[in-house]
Amino acid sequence: MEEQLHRYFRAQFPAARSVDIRSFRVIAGGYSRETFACDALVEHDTGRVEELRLILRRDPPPDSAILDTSRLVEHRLLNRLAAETAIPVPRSLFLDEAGLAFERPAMLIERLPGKSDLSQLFGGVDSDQLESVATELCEQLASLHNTPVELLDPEGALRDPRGVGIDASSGQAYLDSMLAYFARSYADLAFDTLPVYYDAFTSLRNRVPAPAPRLVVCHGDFQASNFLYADGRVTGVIDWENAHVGDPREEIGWLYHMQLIMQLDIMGAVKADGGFLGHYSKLTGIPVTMEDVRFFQLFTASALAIPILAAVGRRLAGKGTEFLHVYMQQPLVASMGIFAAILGYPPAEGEA
Amino acid sequence: MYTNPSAARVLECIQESLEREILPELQSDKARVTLAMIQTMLTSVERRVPVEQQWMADECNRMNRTMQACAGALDGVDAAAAAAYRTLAAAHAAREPFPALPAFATLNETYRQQSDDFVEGLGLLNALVGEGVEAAAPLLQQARAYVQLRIERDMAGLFAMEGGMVGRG
Repeated sequence: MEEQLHRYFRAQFPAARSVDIRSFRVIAGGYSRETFACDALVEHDTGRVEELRLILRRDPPPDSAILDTSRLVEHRLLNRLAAETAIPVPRSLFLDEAGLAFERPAMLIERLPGKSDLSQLFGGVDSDQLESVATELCEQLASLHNTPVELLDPEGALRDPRGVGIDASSGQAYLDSMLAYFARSYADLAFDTLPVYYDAFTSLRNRVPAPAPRLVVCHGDFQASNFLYADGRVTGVIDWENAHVGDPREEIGWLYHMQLIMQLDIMGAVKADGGFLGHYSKLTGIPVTMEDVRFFQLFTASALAIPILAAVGRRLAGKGTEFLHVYMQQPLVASMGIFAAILGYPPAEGEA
Repeated sequence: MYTNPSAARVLECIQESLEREILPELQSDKARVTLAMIQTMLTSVERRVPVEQQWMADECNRMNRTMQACAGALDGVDAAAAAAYRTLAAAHAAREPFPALPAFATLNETYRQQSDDFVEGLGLLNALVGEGVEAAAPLLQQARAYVQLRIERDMAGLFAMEGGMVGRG
């Protein structure tokens, strides 16, 4: 990979006196893309030395992919976010859409400063920064949701990016088509009988809230693992590959879901306007109740479960060789209890 | 519980990955020989799992039948070994035979069909709740109490990720 990077930068800067790739390393975390970090030192023909601090995100082999997402779409979105909003996102500097240099589609993005280890915010040395970081995170989310969809997605690539028949023409159409997608997915996904998922998919219809006043560009994985902070500020909102046009309340449902799993209460740290929901609603004009949050917790967890279940099903049907997809049974087992808790399951019936 | 992948299918997938991803990376002869032994033992477990409980129950019954028959035939034989045999057999004489367990494939197929229909029933109960049928809500909770048992059994019998997800940074 280092050789490929070196060749790639030589091709990008043909007049450069030298190109040096340093501190190359694999970054653990995330199953969807292969992620590497490095620094590229480019000595231009003028003698100027340019240092690029980079993250390389490359698609996994096709049969390993869980989320089928486009590097081109992510590349465009990152650069539009950087241009049109104040949200700290990494600019995408280079795109190898066809995978000519890196074997598979890849992108090189800025490596932003900041810490990702949130344990320091929660009871650690940075706990005095928690409220300001959490509040700014809420404000960044509001800022994203206040940005017109057309500015960030003029091509419409974020409307139904997975190509599963989602209608993003209105809030109601979006909810209806997502619920229909969940229901029809079960038949394709059920490599085994999955009672909790089916219960979730079919019971969501009984809980649907009023549609949101507007659809927005959603980050798609807005949670504690995907931001960086330093000195009480959010320095980066990262990992936008699951971005899509959707209901803004999805992001809060997912954030809430993940903070319960990770036991990192980011939302509870916001004090302004009575708390996270009040502050967000004031900034966006979008009302959000805890009932909405619980609905979208289940909604977003269902949306994420579908591609994971599909990957497991493909592997078990012999349509792949990736062991990860067998291993994914483990978090799926754990997630059933979470789904059951959200659905308000009673205690287990007694042993016969 | 999850029945696909079955324990045997998980082992089969492990075998495939050992062969395809691990074996080519091994540098020492000792590691390769150890892997070959591991693969042999995994194959053994793969063959044993679907039949283990059925055969144990069946063989308990067979052994007991044989022992009771032998003890009966030795009745009246005046020898220390015959008396000892009758004592051994007597310890099991009162035990009821185990009921025959269905073959794993039959059990698996029935479980799957029953589960599929049970799950479809969950969807119908949800639909009735949505239509405002009052009786449906407690029935749905009753069905969920069973599913909760199933979840807890899966956690006890399948879940092994206490150390967190491997590979997550």
